[in-house]
Amino acid sequence: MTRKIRIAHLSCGSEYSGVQKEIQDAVEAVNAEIVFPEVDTEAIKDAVQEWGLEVASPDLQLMIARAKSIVEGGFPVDAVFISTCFRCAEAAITQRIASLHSRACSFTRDKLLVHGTNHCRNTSNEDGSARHHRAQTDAARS
Amino acid sequence: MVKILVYPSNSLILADLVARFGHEPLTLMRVIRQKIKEVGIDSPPINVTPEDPKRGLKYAAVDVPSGVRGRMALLDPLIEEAEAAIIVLEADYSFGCMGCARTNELAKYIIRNKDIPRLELTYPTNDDEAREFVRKIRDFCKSLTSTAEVIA
Repeated sequence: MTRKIRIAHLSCGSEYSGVQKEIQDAVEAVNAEIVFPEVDTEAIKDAVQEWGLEVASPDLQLMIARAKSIVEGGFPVDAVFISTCFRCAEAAITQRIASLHSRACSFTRDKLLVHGTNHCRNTSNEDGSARHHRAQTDAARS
Repeated sequence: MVKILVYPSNSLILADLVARFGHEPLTLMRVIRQKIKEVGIDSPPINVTPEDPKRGLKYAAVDVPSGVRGRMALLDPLIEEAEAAIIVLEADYSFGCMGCARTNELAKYIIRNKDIPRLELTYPTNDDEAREFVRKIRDFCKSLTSTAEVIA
C-alpha cells in the first residue's frame, strides 16, 4: 500500500468561509491527507518575533508558527497548502511571507510543493460567480 | 436572569463567572454545539457551509473577507439575544471563531453600538487585578439583577 501524501494546511478562516469540506474532498481525491503542524503558544510568540511580521489576527500568528515549524524540519510534510481569505490584506501578506520562507529554506527547498490561494474568491455571491471571473480572465488574456 | 454576551465569546472563565452570578452567558460554544448537532453534517468538523458567509452579509458587505462574514454569522444569534455585554480587552490568545482580528473589531463595534448595559475590562495580569476583575463582574451582574427586578 502506498503512503499517503502529507499536505500541511496553513490557513486562516477556511472553516468559517465554508470551504473546508471542498479542500478536504480535493485532497482525498488525490490520495492525500491534510495535516496540521502542532505548535505550543510560546512557539507562536517566538515565531512571530523571529519572522518579524506582527499580524493582529491570532489565526495568522498560528499560521506563521506552523510554517516555521515546517521549514525548520520539525514537522515533515510533502506539500504545503496555504489559503487565506480573499481581500484580507494582512492574510495576503502572511501568505506571501510563509511561501517565501518555505521556498527559501534549505531544508524544504526543492522538496516542498508550496501552493497559496484565496478562498471564496469565485463563489456565486462574490465577484459575479466563477463564470464571470473566468470571462474576465479570458478577456484579460485576449 | 439576564442574557449576557461575553467577549471573547469562547471564554469559559467569563461564561462560568456569569453563570455563578445568576445570569445566562451567551457563548459561541452553544452555537457550535447546535451546528454540529444539526441533522446531516454537510461540512465537517463544525458544519459551516457556504451559506454562512452569506448570512454574515447582515453585518458586513460582500467585499468584506468571507472568513469575517462566516464568523459573524455564528456570532449573530448571540448579538441578537444579548441583553447585556461584558467585553474583556487585551485577552490572551484565542483561535478559531475568535482568531480573526478584523471580525473581533467588528463584533466589538456592533456590541458597543447596541443599546444594552456594557462592562469593559482589561485582562488581569496578576492576583490583585484578577480579584478586582471578578469583583467588577460580580457588581455588574448584581446591578443587572436589580434593574431586571425593577422592570419586572
